[in-house]
Amino acid sequence: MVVTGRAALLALLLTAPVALVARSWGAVLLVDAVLLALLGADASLAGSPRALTFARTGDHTTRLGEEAVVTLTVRNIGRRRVHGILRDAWAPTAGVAITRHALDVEPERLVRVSSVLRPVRRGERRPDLVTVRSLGPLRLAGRQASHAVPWAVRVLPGFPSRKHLPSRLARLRELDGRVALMVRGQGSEFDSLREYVLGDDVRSIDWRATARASDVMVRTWRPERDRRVLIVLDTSRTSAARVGDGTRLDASMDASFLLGALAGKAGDRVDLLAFDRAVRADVRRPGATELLPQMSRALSDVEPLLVEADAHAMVAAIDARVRQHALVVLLTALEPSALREGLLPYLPGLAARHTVVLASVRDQRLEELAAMRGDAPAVYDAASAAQAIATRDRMTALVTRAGIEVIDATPDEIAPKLADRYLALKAAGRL
Amino acid sequence: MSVDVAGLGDIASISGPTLRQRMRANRGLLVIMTLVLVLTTLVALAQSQQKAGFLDPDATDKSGSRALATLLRAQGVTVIRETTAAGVAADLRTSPDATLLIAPTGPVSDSMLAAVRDERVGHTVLIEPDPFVAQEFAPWAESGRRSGSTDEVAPGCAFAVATRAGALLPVGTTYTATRAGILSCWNGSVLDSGTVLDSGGGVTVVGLSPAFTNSELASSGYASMTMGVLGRSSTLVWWLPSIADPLQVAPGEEQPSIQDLVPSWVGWALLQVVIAMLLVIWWRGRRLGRVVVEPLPVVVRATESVEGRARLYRRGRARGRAADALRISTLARLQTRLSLPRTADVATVVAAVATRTGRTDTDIAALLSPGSDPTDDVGLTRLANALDALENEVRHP
Repeated sequence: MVVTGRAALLALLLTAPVALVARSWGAVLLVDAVLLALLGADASLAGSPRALTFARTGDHTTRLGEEAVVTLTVRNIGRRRVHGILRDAWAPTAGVAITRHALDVEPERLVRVSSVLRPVRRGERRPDLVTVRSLGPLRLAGRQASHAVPWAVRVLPGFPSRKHLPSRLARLRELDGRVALMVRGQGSEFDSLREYVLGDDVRSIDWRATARASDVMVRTWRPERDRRVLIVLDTSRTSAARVGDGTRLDASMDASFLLGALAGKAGDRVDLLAFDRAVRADVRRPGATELLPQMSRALSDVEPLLVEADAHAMVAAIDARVRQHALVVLLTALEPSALREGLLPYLPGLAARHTVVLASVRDQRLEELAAMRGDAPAVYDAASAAQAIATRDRMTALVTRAGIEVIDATPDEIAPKLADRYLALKAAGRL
Repeated sequence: MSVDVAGLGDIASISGPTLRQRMRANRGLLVIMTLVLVLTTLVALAQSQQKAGFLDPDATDKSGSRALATLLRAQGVTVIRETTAAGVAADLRTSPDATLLIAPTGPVSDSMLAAVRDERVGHTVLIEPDPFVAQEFAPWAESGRRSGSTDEVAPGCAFAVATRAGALLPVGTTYTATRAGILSCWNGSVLDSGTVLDSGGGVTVVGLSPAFTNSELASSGYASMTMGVLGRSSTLVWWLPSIADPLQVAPGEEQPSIQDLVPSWVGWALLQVVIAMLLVIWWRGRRLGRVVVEPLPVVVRATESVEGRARLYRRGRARGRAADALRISTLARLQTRLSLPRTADVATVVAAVATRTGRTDTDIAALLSPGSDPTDDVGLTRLANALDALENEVRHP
């Protein structure tokens, strides 16, 4: 049983008669007994909040930054009208602005209540209990009950670098020969023979074919297709670092989506692996159209863990997935301590078997700190940041010497830079 | 329990944890709270042993009089502390020649005086008496003004105690004698009846109440004066009149209670307001469903360790290290700018910078080569600015 503010107000209003007329224990007892009886009667006349059934319909997935609508259907299976408040509770990061709704449902009728989710975090968002407070005809008191109505909305990671995709796809088409720009060196895989037109590189004339045909023939080349690309996301402690608006892992995911979309369109086979001490997400051989949805789904509830990455197991997992030569993209951090204790010893071996790109999300704050001047604390900050930058640069040099391509870029730049590096490798036929 | 009705989901009843489960979950908190409770009780008990109170012979705080009482006991005087008029009367009955001290700690009513009046007293000492007490015991003493002199004053009277005590600081109230033969010492700070009075023992009026306190007893000639005044007989009854004395009200009379003073309807109104408040508590106390909790992923600020190291440098005054870090980063940038190899040593960089900017070699070497570490934070800041200036010059020669 619950009471409302009206009940308290009524009790307060009864002060006047009690003070002016009653003035005895019996009278006060009588007045308040009547009040209590009134409250009890009102509560018992309220429609039962237990005699309700619920069902949900609506969106199962949404992307970070977009909306999802989940509708709750309430059906009154009791004998009385249920009038009051309904609270459809969701976790705070589900971003439901209005959780309390006025409810008025006659017996054997349905009412729909919609919750609009604007999630602020990726992963699976589930509702908490649905609580109904049903008030009596006098609105003095009522009854309340909670129901569990399960549902789940999967919030896929955001893909803010999607805006870079069209320009990169245009570059890919240039490489691919769909645009009449066939120069040798744009790829190494033999495509076809065609007639010579003015402007073609004379070096690509195929003399043997020319001899057979009546016209001058040129060879065309195209980039290799069906190459393996393995994207490895490091989800260990270094990925938990807040860089810019999100964590390092968020930026890494964004970059892996752009690369995945691009490589998928280029006809390469893209696999994805999220790893710290064990496999956190694993996408193997998705179909070309299923690539992005599968990657998003797999990464939607991957969160950084405060553990040190197990480099040995990570390399073993990579080797288990790609046997032949492949492009292995490691999205990790150029953190000297973590790298030296972890991946660094394995990198030369990996680079011998595959083409390896190590991409790290850089923290601009470090550069800002290094440029700070003014008072003594600022200069100490600057000195410490300068030292951190120096170690990072040494690390970069060390990794580069191991035969690995390094990309160190801010969260906004890492995705396009990684895509460009992929295109450059593809153009050079190094995949 | 769940029932599927008309294919429209489940009704699932939800039950929270029981009291027993809640107790078990919060066991640690309960233990800590019990410990805190026990400790505070112990501390409060320990503190209650130390009494505090103005002119109280048992009180050890600044305004208490434990020091004086102890001194008197050491001299063989029996000090009896009393807070009720009835107790005082009983004490005076058993030791008729005792000295009676009346402290200004509370009002003394008619019936309290009546209880004491008939007993025989060897000597009476009044400390800053209120007019009512003064009227009873020393009608010849007229209360004067507050004395705030900062100079010591000589006794200036024939009172033996005063001449022994010598000059002292008259802080308190001064009195004027309205009857001949009364000894007025220290400009009226102490009046003594001597042997002038016909009835009973003598009366001494002391205006110097601070002289009796623990904090002031040792200063000026107070100790001598107070001991002389109080130590005239072997028993001292130390009366601290109190508001809680049962004799504050004459026997048979009753004090009007607060209930007699307020109109009768107020009580009933209050009762009803309390009931209304209980309903407010009920109304606001019931949540609309439970609190939703959610585990959140961990986020670490990326530059946390860098800033931590900076603070460590600063606290350890590691100016040498900080200066080296700044120099090395400047050197690295200069190498890139001047197209020198990464392996180029400091001397090469210095020479290249000198030709570029026209500064002298020694000037640049002093900036760039390690060794001359700044001795204070100002020096370090200056070095950082000088390095910036040098880099700027190289960029725009």
